[in-house]
Amino acid sequence: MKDAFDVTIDVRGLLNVPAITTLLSTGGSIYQTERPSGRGAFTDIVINCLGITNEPLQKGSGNVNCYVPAITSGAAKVANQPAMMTLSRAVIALIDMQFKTTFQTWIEDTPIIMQDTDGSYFVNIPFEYQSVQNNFKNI
Amino acid sequence: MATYAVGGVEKIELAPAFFTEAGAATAVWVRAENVAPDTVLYTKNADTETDLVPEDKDVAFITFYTPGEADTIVFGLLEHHPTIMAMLFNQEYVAATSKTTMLAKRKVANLAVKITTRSMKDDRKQIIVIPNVRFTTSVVNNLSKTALQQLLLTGKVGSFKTTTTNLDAISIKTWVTDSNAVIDSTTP
Repeated sequence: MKDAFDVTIDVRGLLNVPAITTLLSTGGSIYQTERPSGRGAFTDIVINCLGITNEPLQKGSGNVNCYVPAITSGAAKVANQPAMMTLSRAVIALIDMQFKTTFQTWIEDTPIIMQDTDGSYFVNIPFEYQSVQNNFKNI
Repeated sequence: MATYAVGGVEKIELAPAFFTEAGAATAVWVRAENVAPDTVLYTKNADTETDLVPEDKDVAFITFYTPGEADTIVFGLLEHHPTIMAMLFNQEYVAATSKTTMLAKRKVANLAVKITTRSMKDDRKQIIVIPNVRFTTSVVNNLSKTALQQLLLTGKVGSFKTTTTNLDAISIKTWVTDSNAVIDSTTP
């Protein structure tokens, strides 16, 4: 049986590769569930799980949030859209339609740019997850 | 004796059909793994009575009794075990290459079913043996991305002969403890 921890661990495993880590720049990290506070100057990825069912074919969902430091345009801070686009497209390529040994992932909706409570901009990428249980007993 | 309460399915096993009560002792059961939740359904088709009332009377002059169709049992399998598949289909299976060739000739599989229920009350569960069931098969959720393909077995319950009375019967139900020990109900 897979639980919410497995979901974020499995998805982190897909993303913890040079194609992504090289885009995170110095100090950037991939976090599960929560991004520590005070990281507005870093490029980070946060993977969270919204839940997973307990059925023979377990179905779960979650988000990959790609944080990119804001840039200054005139006097205003705005989202760094070119960097967000590059990072989110690299993430999508590694998560969409992935059929692995013990789980599958795919992108549910196309990503959108959002702003966190601390003012950080991030790209929200919702994904779907499913896994077949080996020893399902609930019949 | 505790009151009867039955529900849930712990496991389902299949074996070649047998036609006498004594056959239960020698049946070789194969467990049907990964039964789809909530698909196990035993239907007892109701009998009907039709009254014939004369025009000038208020009560039936004669009553016709019509037995219902044979009982049916249905369940879905999410795992396609080669041994179970060989029971249900005409096929050629090569274990060395995991290759199954489905033959064109269709098959009505004559199997025995053993259902072990969950222990619902008073540390007891029920083992239901249906020795003679004729199964046909169909497929649900055919290769959908977000569902497991389910092999749906639809069985028509047939009869067997009891040992001591040589009567026609359809099933054997035995109460056992949660650890499968026999329950002696002779003392209240």
